[in-house]
Amino acid sequence: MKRLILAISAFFFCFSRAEVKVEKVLETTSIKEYNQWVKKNRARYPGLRPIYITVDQIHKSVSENDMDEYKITYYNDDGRLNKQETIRGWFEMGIFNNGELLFIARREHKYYPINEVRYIKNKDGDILLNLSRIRSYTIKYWGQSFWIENNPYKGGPTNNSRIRIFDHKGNVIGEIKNAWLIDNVLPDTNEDYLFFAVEEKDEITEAVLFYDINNNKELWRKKFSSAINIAISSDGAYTAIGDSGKIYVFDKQGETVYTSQPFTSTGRNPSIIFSDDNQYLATVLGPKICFYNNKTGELLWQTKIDDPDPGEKFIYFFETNNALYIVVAYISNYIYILDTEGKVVKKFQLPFGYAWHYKKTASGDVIRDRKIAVSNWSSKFYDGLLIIKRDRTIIIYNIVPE
Amino acid sequence: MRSIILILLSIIIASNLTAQTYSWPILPYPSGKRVTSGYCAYRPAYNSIVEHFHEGIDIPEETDPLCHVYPTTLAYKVIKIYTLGPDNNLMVKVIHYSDDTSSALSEGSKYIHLKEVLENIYEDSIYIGDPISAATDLYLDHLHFEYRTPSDLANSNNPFAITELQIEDNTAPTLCSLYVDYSRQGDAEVACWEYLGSNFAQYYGTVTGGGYTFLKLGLPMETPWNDWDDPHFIISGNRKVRFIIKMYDASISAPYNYYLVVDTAIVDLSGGSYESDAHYQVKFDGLLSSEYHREETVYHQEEPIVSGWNSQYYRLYPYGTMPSCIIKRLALATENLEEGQHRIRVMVKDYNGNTKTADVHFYIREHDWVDYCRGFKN
Repeated sequence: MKRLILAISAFFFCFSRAEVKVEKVLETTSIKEYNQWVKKNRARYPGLRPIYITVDQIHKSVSENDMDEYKITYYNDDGRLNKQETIRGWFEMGIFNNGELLFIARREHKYYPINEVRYIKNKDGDILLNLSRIRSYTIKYWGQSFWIENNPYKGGPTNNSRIRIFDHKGNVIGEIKNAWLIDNVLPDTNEDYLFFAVEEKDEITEAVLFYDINNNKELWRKKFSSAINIAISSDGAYTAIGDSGKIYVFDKQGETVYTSQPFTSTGRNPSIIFSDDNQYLATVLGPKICFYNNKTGELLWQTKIDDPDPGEKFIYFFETNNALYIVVAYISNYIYILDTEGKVVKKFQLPFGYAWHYKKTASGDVIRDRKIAVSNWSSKFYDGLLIIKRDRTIIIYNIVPE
Repeated sequence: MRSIILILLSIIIASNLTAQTYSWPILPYPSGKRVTSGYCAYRPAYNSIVEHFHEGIDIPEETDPLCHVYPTTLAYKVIKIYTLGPDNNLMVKVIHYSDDTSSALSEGSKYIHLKEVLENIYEDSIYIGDPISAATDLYLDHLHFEYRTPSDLANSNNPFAITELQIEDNTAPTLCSLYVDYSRQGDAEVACWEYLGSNFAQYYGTVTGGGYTFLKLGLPMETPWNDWDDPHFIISGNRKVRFIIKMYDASISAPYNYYLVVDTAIVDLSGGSYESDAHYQVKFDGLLSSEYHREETVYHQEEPIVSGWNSQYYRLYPYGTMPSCIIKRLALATENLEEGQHRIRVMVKDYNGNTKTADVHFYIREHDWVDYCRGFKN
């Protein structure tokens, strides 16, 4: 009976169709305006996060005896100034964990670690963790109860290459051997499992490995000869790899669920995503988008979009009013929303304009080639909200059924 | 920053040059071809990063917004785009192709510290003439560029082996000191050699480190045919010493390629030429991935023979563990040299042909008496 209900609901879910409209609900360069919008709408969009930390370079060194200078600003939930500090030196910095943590590596020499400090600050500007003490270069992933290091510069991969997993106090709680640089790591929703794409010690072989974080155990590992794209389902039951036009789907034991080669372009790697309920898998490579029944591996449909520059940027699933949609963005800045039958139900373009693309000729000259869309933006997707960020500009689109 | 090299003798690696067209990785380059850290500069250990030799060159960014990072060949295939740092400290690894993309070359390159890679650049795709990044926004204001071979890009090579990637360098290397190890790997007695009323004490000193004392002989300004301003010392006892040369290239960007000429014959003070084939040569054309690229630690555990960075360091290799970049090692068996006066002529030449020379005289003494006359043999 339960199976029958599931099947019926899956049928309606799959074939329910609805047009959507895309509303721009905010465009701002003001952190105060953004944070207050987030606060006002938090009940409706619990996944939204305010901006807590910004980093601005206020002086660029003019010689090796000079140093860079940065202003770090910490904001509260209302976007009001919480704290501000100016730091001087040679830096590497990055904001992560939904904007709540700031990584700072500061030293007094451009190349050498003279008086170097490496630490993590929280959104109040307090030092949370000293990475120098635990001899870790930086952080690759910060989870609810653990974090994963990244040590890409170890002088190159060695026989002792390993990746360590720490608790939030900086104690080692796990170790992955024969793994050097983390290309990508994805958790399931509960962070019980981690799906890694890593460089092994030879820096030639790419490997994926499935890791049980609760038992600190590598469950399985598979090697690939080149760069790949990876995905994990929300419950960790499925993992997928996009490699040279093919997709591979595995279960928790590392057994192959299905494989497919939907793309004739064998060189590049398709992007993949699972639907939240594991029922479907969508994949994109260039203009072609494919949609699978993830339980059976059946290709339900494939379609080609008509785009002026079909280089894919991202693919998302999103669900609203019991209808499932696939959102695909391209470097043309066009964003396509497709229903579960492969029909494009909405197409719109981000307002970032065009710029010249330059080329080098055989003689070494640089010439103007063509105009291309300015697509150096990043995106997040929460609860039907598409949040686009480029430099200081934040645009929020709300995708709603019509 | 000056890079100082201590050469302990040896030799060559074949460079993998092709007829391929190359160009500077940042185009255009209105400030000229500039390098702020050279190939094989020593990088010490810190945090979890092991000590290593700099496997590429650092190129300062250009501030003109039209400058971009281009792979050094016209055609290339993107192998991998890494994220190295906390934010967007990116590395792009490419394989070089012939200009018409008809064939992949057994070489490639790495571009590190990019803050962004252009959105139309994908892994496993081949491009002709396309940039990979805007060069105006680089971590630590520079591009780290590596030229690598073979097809798996395992080994790093000196980019200056490629003519199009060479930079202007009119500065001769500087010779600083000749160290004499007489108690660690060497076994000898040494002393300053004062003879015929001459005083060479100003060039004669010692340094101690790791429990060992070395002679430190200053190499004065070059006066090639004046032996009276050269260090002189005596080797006696078991007469086995090990020489270590300390030099640097004042041109911070100079590619490394030094060789030493050592004349082991009894000295000819009549003015004859000392030049002969290089007995020892260091030519930093490449570093093999199979090698252990680090300094020998025993020599510089503490001051004054100490490892460091900035203006000086010592690059020493234990016997039998020479990296491939050090070519042609000929043992100068001082214990077997004929009793009498000998001279070491150190001739150093950098990649661009700038040269410097210095002489050191030593007397091999087997007997209790010093036969000064043998210094005038022949």
